[in-house]
Amino acid sequence: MKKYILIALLVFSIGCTLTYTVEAQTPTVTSLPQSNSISTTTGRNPAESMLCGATGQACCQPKWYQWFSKECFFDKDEPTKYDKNGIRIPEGDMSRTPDSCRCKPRVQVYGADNLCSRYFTPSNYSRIVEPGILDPDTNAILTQDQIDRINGELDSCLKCVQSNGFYTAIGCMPFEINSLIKGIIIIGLFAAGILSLLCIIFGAIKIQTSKGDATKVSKAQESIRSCILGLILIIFSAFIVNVLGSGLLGFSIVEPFKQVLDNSKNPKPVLECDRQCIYSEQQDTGVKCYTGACPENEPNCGMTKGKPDKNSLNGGCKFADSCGNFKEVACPAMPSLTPQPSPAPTPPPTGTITPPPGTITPGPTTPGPGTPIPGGPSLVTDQMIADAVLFHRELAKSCGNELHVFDMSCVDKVNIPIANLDVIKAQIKNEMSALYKSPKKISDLQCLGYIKAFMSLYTGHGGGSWPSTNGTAASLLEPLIITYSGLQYELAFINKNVAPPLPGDFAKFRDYDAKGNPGDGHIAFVNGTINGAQFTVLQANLGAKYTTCNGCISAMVVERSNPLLTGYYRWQKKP
Amino acid sequence: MNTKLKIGIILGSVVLVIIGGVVAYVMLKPDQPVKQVNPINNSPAMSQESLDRMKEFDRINSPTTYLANLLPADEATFKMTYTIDPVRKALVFTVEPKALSLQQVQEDVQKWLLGIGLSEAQIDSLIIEYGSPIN
Repeated sequence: MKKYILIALLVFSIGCTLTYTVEAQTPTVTSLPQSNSISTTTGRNPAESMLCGATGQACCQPKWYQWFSKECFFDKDEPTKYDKNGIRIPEGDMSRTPDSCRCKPRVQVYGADNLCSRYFTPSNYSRIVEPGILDPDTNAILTQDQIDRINGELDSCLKCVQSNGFYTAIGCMPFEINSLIKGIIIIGLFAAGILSLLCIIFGAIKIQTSKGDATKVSKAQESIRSCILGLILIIFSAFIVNVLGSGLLGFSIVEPFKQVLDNSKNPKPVLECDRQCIYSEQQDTGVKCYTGACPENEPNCGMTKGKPDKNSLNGGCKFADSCGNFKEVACPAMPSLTPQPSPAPTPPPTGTITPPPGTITPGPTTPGPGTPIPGGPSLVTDQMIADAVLFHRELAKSCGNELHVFDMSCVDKVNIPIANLDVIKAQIKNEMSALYKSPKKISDLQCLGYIKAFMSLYTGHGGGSWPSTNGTAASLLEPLIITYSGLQYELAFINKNVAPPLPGDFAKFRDYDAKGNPGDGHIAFVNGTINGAQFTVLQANLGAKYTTCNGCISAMVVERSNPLLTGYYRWQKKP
Repeated sequence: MNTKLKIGIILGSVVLVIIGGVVAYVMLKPDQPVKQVNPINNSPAMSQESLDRMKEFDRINSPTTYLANLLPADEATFKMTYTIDPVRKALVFTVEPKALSLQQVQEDVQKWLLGIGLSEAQIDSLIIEYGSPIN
């Protein structure tokens, strides 16, 4: 018993020393970021500047002992628009400047971004609210019980995040180091106190059962003495820890006991907006509503579940934004089988596509009467193709041929009279946000994300985001097919040997190295056919002149006989 | 409790605390190299190796596709772009001369096309239209 008491005392001492050392060297951890202390010239908390010094994508570099509690990112909403020399920075470049690099406590990111993320990504969120959707882990259909359980878990996770903790299999754990140590100390003291009490009781029982045996009585007395001494030491150590904790660490272990006695609560720590709040935008997929928007300086902006109106596909969806404000958003109309009229006539896409490899004219999408179409007809209309080409061209102009998550404002600037423009833009931004929040932290527009935007043009609905970033473009397309299958349409695959593609198809490419190992693959939007052997595509993440380029959008001519081309996905009505 | 034991406990505690403090100080040195958490450009996409293969395939089998995908080209004496002729269902390459002499431009175009790996026979199969030289 004496050994245990000794060990407990040592653990407390070392723990306090370590904690003190950590806190002494991380003065900014607990003081960041305060919006009211933002510098008027740089727009940043000076303390943040200490951490955010590097340029380029490296952003700020937290010390390794901070990496678990800090997150560095580019803040596109940086209020200042001037560089260090007082020269105004163009808006599009803001997100790439060192001054726009900021650090924030990562605890919220962990809580909301990682630990609750399986519930927050739009596609996964839809799994929760919609019975009959596949479980992301087991691929089995979720029952109502499972959905209820997941929703309950989500609520717990949210509450945990809001109290600055992270949600684990054994419950909510505080993430800040002093909170964690405080918790351990309190639990340890409780356990030690109970053990001491049991020890005394055990000694007393031994005396009562000694039957007057002097040796046994002596041993039991010694045992009780040791236990009482241990209890005194524990109380004494609690006093030391409390003095150290309140003086150096800023917490009191007495406070929780007071709270229990007084039945009072400390005010919950304010959950500051995390990275997710900065560039995600509230959206309406039409069928499901989900949230994500949050003004950066808005307090209490934990994610709040939306309240979709399941009874209406075309009606409004009432949902809560991440700051708890309920809003009504109209869902876009369901797609129709007839061509959707645009708000205004769209000029035919005869101009040069940026980068201008030439003038691309989409071929006719509908064959003459009586002409059979190998692979079946497409639901895509000429107008949709024209809209898609126009959107691509304007997006390339607005974004400088590249789309990155750090500056998606260029997407908003695309303002052309085409159908479903808002849904398309929202789909692109949502996809990129979700990708950046994925474990791979992909910050560039991907080929599949761009395809989904075109699908949104067809359907008027968002296609959700990737549940995973592992897999090929084709395999990642599968969830998309499932999504649209729910709308009585499907993306049917047509082998390239059967027929040439039709405009509006999605050309699928495989990828393999010199040894024949498969890679990620590629998918592109067919915007026109030249002849039976050649067609043109619009695409993302694959550039002109046969180059890969992160986040770029481009046009390309494709040879149908190319061995990397395998076929086309065509939007068709389900048989 | 034995006095020696008490002294041992106190001394042991002090030593351990000092060791802990030293270890913590060394480990938590502010200028410690940073663990980089920034895999920003880890994009799943077609590999450059596959694209090179595609490029080579087009160069050999379809000079029009190959050339179109290398455009626009902006050389010293000409600019080259392409359009799609819906009637002929073919790619038409347009050369906008920058030099005064059309003959010189044609020679430069020929050299450039040879330089990107096309054979003379392939170049002859291309539909190239020349604009008027700049005056």
